[in-house]
Amino acid sequence: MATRCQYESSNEIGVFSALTNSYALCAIGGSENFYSIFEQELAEHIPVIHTSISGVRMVGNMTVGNRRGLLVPSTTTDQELQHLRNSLPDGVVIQRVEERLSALGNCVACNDHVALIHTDLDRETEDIISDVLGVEVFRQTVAGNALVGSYCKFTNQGGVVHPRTTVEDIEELSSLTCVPLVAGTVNRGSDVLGGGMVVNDWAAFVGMDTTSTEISVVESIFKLKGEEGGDIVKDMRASLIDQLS
Amino acid sequence: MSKFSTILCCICGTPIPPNPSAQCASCLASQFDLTSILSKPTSGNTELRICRCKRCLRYETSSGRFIPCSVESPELMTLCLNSIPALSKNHGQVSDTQSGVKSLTLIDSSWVWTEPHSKRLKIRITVKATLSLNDVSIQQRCLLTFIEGNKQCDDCNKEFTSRTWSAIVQIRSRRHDSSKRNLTRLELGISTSKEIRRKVINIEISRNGFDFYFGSQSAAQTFTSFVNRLIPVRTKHTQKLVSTDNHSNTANVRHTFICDVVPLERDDLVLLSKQCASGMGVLRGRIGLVIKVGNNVRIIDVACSRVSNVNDSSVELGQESYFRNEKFYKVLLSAGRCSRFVVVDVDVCGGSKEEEEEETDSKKPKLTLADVTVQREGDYCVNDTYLTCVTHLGHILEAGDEVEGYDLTATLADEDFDDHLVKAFEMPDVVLVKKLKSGGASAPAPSVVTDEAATGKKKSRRQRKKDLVKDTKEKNGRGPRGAKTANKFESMLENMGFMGDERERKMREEDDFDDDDEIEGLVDDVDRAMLNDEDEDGDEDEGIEVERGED
Repeated sequence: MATRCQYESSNEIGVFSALTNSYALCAIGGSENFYSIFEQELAEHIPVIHTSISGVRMVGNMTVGNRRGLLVPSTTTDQELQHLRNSLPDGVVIQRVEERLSALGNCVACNDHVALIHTDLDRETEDIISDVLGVEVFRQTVAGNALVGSYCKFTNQGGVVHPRTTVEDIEELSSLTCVPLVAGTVNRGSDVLGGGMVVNDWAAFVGMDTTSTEISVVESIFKLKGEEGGDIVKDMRASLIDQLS
Repeated sequence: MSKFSTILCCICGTPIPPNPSAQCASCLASQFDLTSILSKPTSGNTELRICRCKRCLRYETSSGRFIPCSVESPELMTLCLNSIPALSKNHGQVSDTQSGVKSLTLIDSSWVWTEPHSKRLKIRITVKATLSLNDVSIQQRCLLTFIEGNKQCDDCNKEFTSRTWSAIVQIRSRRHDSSKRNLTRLELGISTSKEIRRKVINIEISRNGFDFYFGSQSAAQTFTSFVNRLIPVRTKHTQKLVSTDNHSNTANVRHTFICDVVPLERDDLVLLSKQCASGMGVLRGRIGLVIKVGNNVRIIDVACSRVSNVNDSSVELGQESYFRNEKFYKVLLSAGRCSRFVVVDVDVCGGSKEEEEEETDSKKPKLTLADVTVQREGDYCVNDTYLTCVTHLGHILEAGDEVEGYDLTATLADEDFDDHLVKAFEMPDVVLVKKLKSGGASAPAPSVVTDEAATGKKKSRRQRKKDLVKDTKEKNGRGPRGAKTANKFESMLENMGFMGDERERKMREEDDFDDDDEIEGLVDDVDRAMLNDEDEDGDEDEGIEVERGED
């Protein structure tokens, strides 16, 4: 199920939150509405952690993580690091990264097996990503944009890429990530997918502006619909898969 | 270039190629309805309006002026486009951001036909709009309808509101035979000057002339002096006080200018009485023939002596010199009383033509005195009645020509001129007025050889063309009809007082009257004839044939 939400009337919820299969991060805001929505959906399964990164609220932009680990930029304070360590479930490794491109969320897109990273990231950072997150790392661009974390989003089930990605690129990325990919948008035509949504294998949150068509695309490609999914969605999915093949 | 993957339109889910708005064209169009933005009228109106003056049919521009525009013309399109508030505002920057449109640019426009009486103007315009959403630009074709409203323009308003004029010029021509040739001349002269007509508020036609209304006295005075340049007129100025305002020290005065047009027309036979003390020059106590009416009236002695120079035996009367002695002039005969003669013999007086031409001032018409023997048209080839006279038409007359003139033996026999004429004046038998055509109409048709021999030169191109046309007409069997039309036309022009002379007639013959568009041909010819008449009057004499440079 995909849920629409807003962070202090901003639709860019991917900036203010991060979601993996084993934990979720949420920015500290003026009101708890945003946090409550996450809590309501996820609390039964995974911890939802209130935090800030180096004092700013952009937890989604600054961090990258998956089921196995969490990478935070070097500017993260000790206190924040301690708080995260305490809150994260056992077995999730947290690691600071000494990297010039400190907005790791924008530079890295990953699921539990594969990570696509910004072409300019350091060698050491690449190694850390590979070790901590336990993924295969590929330096890639999406539709000519090096900020792969912003312009694509994928899980173990599937993924969405920038709308102007060519068919060949989608095929290539799809073969690298081993999941089906589709070109799509969120927030009524916005191509900043990483900013507009957070998603894991069984839950997704999208910006408030996202249209029903976009939600349908998201749900079908990330396989968020249960068995009871409607015929229309199946049809749509079939047509999308047709386009991919 | 590799192909982009299709995405689903984020509104309706249709697969589309990716675009910055991620929406399909129909969704964008439904979201941003440019037609409604463009057809939004200015405040206070419910629809787009274009105002038009009902009477002069001019359209009002956005600046409040009225300009003439033909239907579906580029000017009218400009006017329509300027009256679209959304396009004119801040060079296309749409101020209300609610519509989501940042700026509008006009790409193309075209007319859509509307029924002329529907009072609607429809245009189809293509507009490019930049949306505030993602800086997407969209292009749309919209059909806009303008409603044509009525609004009287200032000029028509002035004309219709009474008491807007403050000066009136009354032009009158008083002749015993109520001939209107001078008035027609005047009308043509006025119609050719745009500047002069601009200040005229209204024109009315009265029995013997016209009334011109003006907004100011100075405009009326300008007009009067213009008229005086066209034709000698006597102007009388009167004024009438309508109202006064003591507080602001102003008065409302009506000015009236009465312009009496000189009652002499071209080809008039005029008696200049000897009782007049001065101002008639050599013609005092003689009979003269009016050969030109321009800004002066030129009169030539009908019985000039053979040895004299032509210019010595003619006078030019200006406005002042005529009206001072008005009562001593008497029109004896006018153009309608002319009869036809055939020239039998021409003997140029006082040297050859060439010498004469050299002597004469280039500005003056090249008149040549000649002894001419003529026969009345009825007498020609019938009996031996010959009339002789001295005429000023010596340079164009040839033996066999057909001419018009006054037969004084028949027409003036019973008049008593003793009190008016000087003793030395010998009444001529005939006064030739103008040449009708050369070669002699009633003479047996000359062969090419004799014609060439008679004129002593090769036939001109125009002449040859004329012959050719004649031949063709006869061959086609269209001769009678063409001739009939031509005759009708000729008599019409004759009645109007134009086309009296040989040259213009020749010119008309150049035109082959086509069966299909006789009417158009006629109209064109009338127009041209009028213009010709006007052009020539300035410096040439109408009764005189001056050979133009023929090729």
